[in-house]
Amino acid sequence: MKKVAAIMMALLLVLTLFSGCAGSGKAEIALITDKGNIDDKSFNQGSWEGVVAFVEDQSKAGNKISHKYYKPEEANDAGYLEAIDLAVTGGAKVIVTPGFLFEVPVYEAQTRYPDVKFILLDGQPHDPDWNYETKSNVASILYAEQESGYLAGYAAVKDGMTKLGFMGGMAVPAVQAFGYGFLQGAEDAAKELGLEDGAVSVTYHYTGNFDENDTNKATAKTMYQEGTEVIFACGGSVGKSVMSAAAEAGKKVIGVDVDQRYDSETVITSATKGLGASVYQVLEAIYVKDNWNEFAGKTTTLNAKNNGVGLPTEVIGDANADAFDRMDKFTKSDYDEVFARLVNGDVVPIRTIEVADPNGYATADELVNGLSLVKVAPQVR
Amino acid sequence: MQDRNGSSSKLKVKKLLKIKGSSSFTAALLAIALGLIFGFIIMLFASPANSLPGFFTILTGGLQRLDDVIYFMVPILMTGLAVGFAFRMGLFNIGASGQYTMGMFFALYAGFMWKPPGNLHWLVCILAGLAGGMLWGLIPGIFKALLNVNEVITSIMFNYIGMYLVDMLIQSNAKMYVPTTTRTAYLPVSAQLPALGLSNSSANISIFFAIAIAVLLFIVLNHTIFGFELKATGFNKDASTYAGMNGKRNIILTMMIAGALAGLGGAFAILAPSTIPGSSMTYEPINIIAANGFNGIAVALLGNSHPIGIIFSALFISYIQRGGTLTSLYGYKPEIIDVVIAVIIYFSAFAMIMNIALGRFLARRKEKSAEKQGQEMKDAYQEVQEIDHVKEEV
Amino acid sequence: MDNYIIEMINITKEFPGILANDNVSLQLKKGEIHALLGENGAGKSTLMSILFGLYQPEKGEIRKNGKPVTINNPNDANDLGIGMVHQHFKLVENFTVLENIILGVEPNKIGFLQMREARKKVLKLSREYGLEVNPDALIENITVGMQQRVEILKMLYRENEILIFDEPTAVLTPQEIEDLMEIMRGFARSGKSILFITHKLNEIMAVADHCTVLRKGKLMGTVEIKNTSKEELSKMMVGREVSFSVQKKEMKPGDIVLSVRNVTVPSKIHKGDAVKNVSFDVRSGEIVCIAGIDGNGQTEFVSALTGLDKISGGTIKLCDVDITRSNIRTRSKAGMSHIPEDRHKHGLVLDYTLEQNLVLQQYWQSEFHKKGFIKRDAIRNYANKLIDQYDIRSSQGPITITRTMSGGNQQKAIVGREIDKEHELLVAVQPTRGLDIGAIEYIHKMLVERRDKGKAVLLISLELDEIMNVSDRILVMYEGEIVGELDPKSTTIEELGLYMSGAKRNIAKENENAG
Repeated sequence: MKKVAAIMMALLLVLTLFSGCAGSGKAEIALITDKGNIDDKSFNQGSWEGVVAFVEDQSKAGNKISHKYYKPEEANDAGYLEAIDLAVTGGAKVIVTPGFLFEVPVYEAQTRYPDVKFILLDGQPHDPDWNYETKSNVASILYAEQESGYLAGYAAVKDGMTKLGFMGGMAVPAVQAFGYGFLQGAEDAAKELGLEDGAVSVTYHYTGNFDENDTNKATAKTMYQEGTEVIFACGGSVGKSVMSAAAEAGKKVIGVDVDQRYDSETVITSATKGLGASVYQVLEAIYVKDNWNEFAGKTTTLNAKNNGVGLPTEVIGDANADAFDRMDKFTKSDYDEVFARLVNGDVVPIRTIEVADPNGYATADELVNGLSLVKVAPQVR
Repeated sequence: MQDRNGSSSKLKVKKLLKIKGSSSFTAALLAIALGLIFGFIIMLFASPANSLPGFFTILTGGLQRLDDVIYFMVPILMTGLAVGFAFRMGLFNIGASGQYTMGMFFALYAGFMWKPPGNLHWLVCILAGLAGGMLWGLIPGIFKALLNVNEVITSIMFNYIGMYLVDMLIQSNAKMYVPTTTRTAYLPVSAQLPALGLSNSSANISIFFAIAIAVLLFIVLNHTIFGFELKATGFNKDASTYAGMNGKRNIILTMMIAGALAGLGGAFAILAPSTIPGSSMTYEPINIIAANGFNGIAVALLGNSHPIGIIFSALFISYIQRGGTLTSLYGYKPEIIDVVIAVIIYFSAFAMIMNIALGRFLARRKEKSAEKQGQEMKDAYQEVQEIDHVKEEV
Repeated sequence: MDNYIIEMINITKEFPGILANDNVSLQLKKGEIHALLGENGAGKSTLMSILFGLYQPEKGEIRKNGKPVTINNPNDANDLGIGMVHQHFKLVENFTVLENIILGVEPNKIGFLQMREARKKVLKLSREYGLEVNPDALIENITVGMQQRVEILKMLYRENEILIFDEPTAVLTPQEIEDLMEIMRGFARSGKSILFITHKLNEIMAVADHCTVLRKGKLMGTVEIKNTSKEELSKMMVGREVSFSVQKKEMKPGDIVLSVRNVTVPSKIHKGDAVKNVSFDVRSGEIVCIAGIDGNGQTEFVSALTGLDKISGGTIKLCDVDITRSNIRTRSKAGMSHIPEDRHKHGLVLDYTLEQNLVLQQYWQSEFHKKGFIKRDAIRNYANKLIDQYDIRSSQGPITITRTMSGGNQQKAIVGREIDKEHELLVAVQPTRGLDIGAIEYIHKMLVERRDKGKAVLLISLELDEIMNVSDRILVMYEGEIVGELDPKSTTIEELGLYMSGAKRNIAKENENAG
């Protein structure tokens, strides 16, 4: 055994010499992952896909830009900041930080590295005492989640479903906005279809976590057993629990953040944030269009107008495929129509309502009154 | 380790160390070397071109980040001691994770909910962490001593119970938990440990506590009646009973101490100062068992359950991890680095297990076949066998 | 030369660092009983393992009927007609005698067992050699002596001509030993050749034709039994003169030190009691021996007496103090010293140093610590004192890891520790088990010295010579009861054997309904 190991070592060493000294490993565009992995089918992945798409397009145009992602050693402010330090050491000029967990670390880093540009997705830099400040080297991107949720709710009811479910993670602003938009979209679709008052029921639930676990699966299962046709799973890994329950019950799921149709056959559509698109836009502004100033030093809320939110309209890897093939009646043209209404401002979904509960859990009355629901009857659990 | 530091026969001691004492140390080095070789092979496959500079970074990268090496070594040093100390008594404290989490929670609770006057808030938090871990070690200890329930089973269960309990308690406490960020709030500065003052690092004074505790444990194990009984029980439970030692009391005491050590680890980790002023370490209740507890097992194994050995094995593992992170500068993806580091640690621990098992096996065989042969020869033989065996394993 | 059936010529077997057999030769004639004598670790077992194909020698050759053969495994040995009765029997407990005998060589016709044929053959063999067994009895229900017969029948059934007996008498009663000797002589008469491994000189003198003596892996020589004596053999084996009889002064019994009344201990194996209603006294200045065949409740009784296990009935008093429910440390303080049966399991922490083991019973005394901190120098001085006084030999003195010491010196360490500690009663359980003659002699001397110093000694032993030579009074334990009290001066080994096998008793079953 000893000999074999020695021979292998020698062989590999020789191989190494022949392959020579390739890339130094420096990367100009860096992404820091948050607590999950790069393939989390959520923020990390969505944002990273934007980086990759941009770099590939540039590469085709003959402009090679190095890029890579870094994983923090620990998932807290100091750990994220340390990863940013490492990325800068690694030659990063643009650093993409996906998610609001980076708000404090980016606040610190924007002063420490004034020559490095930061793209902070879904968050705004602030200090530990919640004093917001976005310096000129930071582009803070927020999303109009209510619009994305609106499209999902609209599509579901238009597709003929009347028993809907919403399973949010924790009642953080983004999740709340998705949920409120979902209810408003369902309401508008029901009106268009001329349904009776209260004809659309929505079981509205916050799981209190972003986990894949048995409790969440059981909750979803119960909803399906009660007749719910589709659940809008809106909270990280909660989606996995819901999809697994849906697969067993033969029911449907609406995904969130990124197009989740590839995770499960049960996902009919997804209320996406244009993470990749927004990263692409900002990178383009920096490298190609030279209009970084449009994003620098401020918060940009991306919405339907600038392709920041929407339902997926393309199937990756198949240009001819129909992204709405898992819907019965709702088609691409229906979608284009309602999307246009959001773009030109005919419809402006409400983002926030008054909620008494400190955890942000709205009651059914608060939902009905705050969102002026008539056709939709929310049931909170 | 044995009591070798006799005063009357220094020369003999020296000879003995040369023959026997060094074998566990050389075995550890050998294990590390093996782990490094395998780590290197993985790096070769992942990216041949960068493997040499990448591997060099793993080996030396820690030097550039000594402050972080120190910061990250403290929690695994403490959980390593928690596992190693109990192991000396023959108890496999696999519950270091739960004790760690408990200690962390108690420290957090003291940090948020109590405001003692004076400048010693953080000390109170540390003591609270110690108490929390102790409680979580005590329960499996009582189960083992009085009901003879295997401590492996109870302590595994208490890992889960502790973790879920802590997550639940934190989430239901509005003062400690921030729902919008899904993690704990920032601890007040008074509860955070004083930093070492190294620039841009969370390294803090807990390293001094941790090393002092390890030295203290060494003294307890080697210079006290309690340590004498504890090790005797670990080596041979029947003989310790025969000699009239109070096994039940010792089991409970040992598990309490082990739990307290892990609890301190959790407290030291969560009370560390953040590099961002006004910020702090945060805990995210996401139903995951603390990895530092399990890393403690590897640390203890590599350190041969010897308190001083554990200091160095914790240092080594932290050092390798810090260097490993830097290899991302050489084109290695974080996932590959994780695998490489895991392989190094795994091999270090695994080879030690083999070493222990083999040592016992050989000793038994030798007793039968060669009780009267020259001692040095046997020891040399054993060493050669150990080395050969480890090689064969590969 | 031509009448040797098996020859092992110049065999050298080396384990790394150890010469287990150094140029050893052994020649076995057809129809003789050849003893192989040596102390523990002298290389007897290695040599036989080579003959049986379990080890391969580095040098030397094995010849059968003058022709060199190679034996790579036990099957080769069996093909050459070599069979072995191992010290620990290799029988299937819940098979019958017959099934065990034919195991591995089942007679069959196209796959169907031919039990009738097998039975005929077994019965014929057992008649021929006087090996009476019930072929349909289950192994678990027959005595150890019977089990040994089954092992012997296994060899005969396989038509082996060379029979190796590895320490066959260790587990037998005196009567069974006598029977075995007769059986072995019968084999020799019928032309079979026997290799008889033992360290018991009496048996060799009684039955063997030749004896080959090994010492530390080297051949000391082969002698003809009729031209030699026990003394000469032991000198060859040990390398010096050995005295066999234990020198004892007249006993001067004093006050009662240990008083055991109606002690009953539940069994851990079966539902009944392992020790039933045992009562006796031990006085100062006497050695009382509990004799008995292994497994008749001695182990359980000692566990209860020393506090390792609880008793279910009765009382134990030590120097008039009731210690029935006391813990081990209290008993120790009250004056009980205990040389345990299993020195590796109970007697020593093998991974501790010699000095640590020497204070294992006393480390907690104020002499050896100050407020919980060990006084190393005090321990070292005490250990050195014991090492000198009891001649405990080791490679590195007090800091030797005990595991690396020889069995004899490990036992000396225990004996020294238990004797040096303040005590009134010394409980010595099989104190010479597995030791060589030199060490046995030494330990017997120590036990007698204790008695002469006015201590009470309770000896639990399976060795008949030891029982007869050392004790002042013999209590025979059979199936958990004391069935006889004998005076070694006025009794014979044969009579003792009858008591041990339960055939005789002189103490009536008292208090039958009290338990």
